[in-house]
Amino acid sequence: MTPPLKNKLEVIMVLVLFALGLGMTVTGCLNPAANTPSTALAPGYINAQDQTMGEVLGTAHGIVGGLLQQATSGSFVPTATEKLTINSLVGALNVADAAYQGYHAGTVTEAQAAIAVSAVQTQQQLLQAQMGTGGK
Amino acid sequence: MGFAAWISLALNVALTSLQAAGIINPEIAAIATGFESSIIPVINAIQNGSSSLQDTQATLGAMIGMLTTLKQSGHLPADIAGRVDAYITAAEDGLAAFSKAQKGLDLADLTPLTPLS
Repeated sequence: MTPPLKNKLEVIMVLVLFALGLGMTVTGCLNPAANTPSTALAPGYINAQDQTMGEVLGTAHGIVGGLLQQATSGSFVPTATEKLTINSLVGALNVADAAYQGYHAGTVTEAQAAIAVSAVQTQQQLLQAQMGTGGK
Repeated sequence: MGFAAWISLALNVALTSLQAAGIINPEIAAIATGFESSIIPVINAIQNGSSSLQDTQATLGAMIGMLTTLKQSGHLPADIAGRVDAYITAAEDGLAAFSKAQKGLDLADLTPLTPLS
């Protein structure tokens, strides 16, 4: 007897999850280098804290830039609440960018830049929480 | 890192929708959520250098594959599928930007963004 579509979907999900779990296990077992911490500083960064801040800001730019592009093109339609939070995140990101640029120019302390970067992370978490409820 | 949270968000939104519509039962949703709980720390481990970028990309790719399967099932409402797409794109863009920043600093990438009107 042919199983209903609902059951087929559940079987597909179980198989996909199994494959995903197997893939993670194999990856973890076969690649010991993956568990070796990297301490090398990438070019352009002053120290580890600086690199962390740069990576956080870079990642946030990628995420927010992508959301803005999708919202502008109409492929993603944020609710009014989401739009407000996205704009707050953009504001925090612009402030943090300026602080980080100032830190590299020697006009802003590392602690001041870190506070601005932390504000970006807070705004990003707020946006994710809102989107998880559909922006309601 | 922020991009992992976006994939987590996409999965949660998709599973909640499918469960609410009665397409999948709560047990299946719970299994998926359990996998997600174990996967997200793996992705986040890259932040302290305890996971390679390649492993993170592979794991993220597997999760995106699962979401694609859910979307292709045709059971997700259009608005939810649109949101899932937006979150996946945000995660992919975030991962690409993180990968670039990890290789070196380029201050030109940190230019002001324009808010939505």
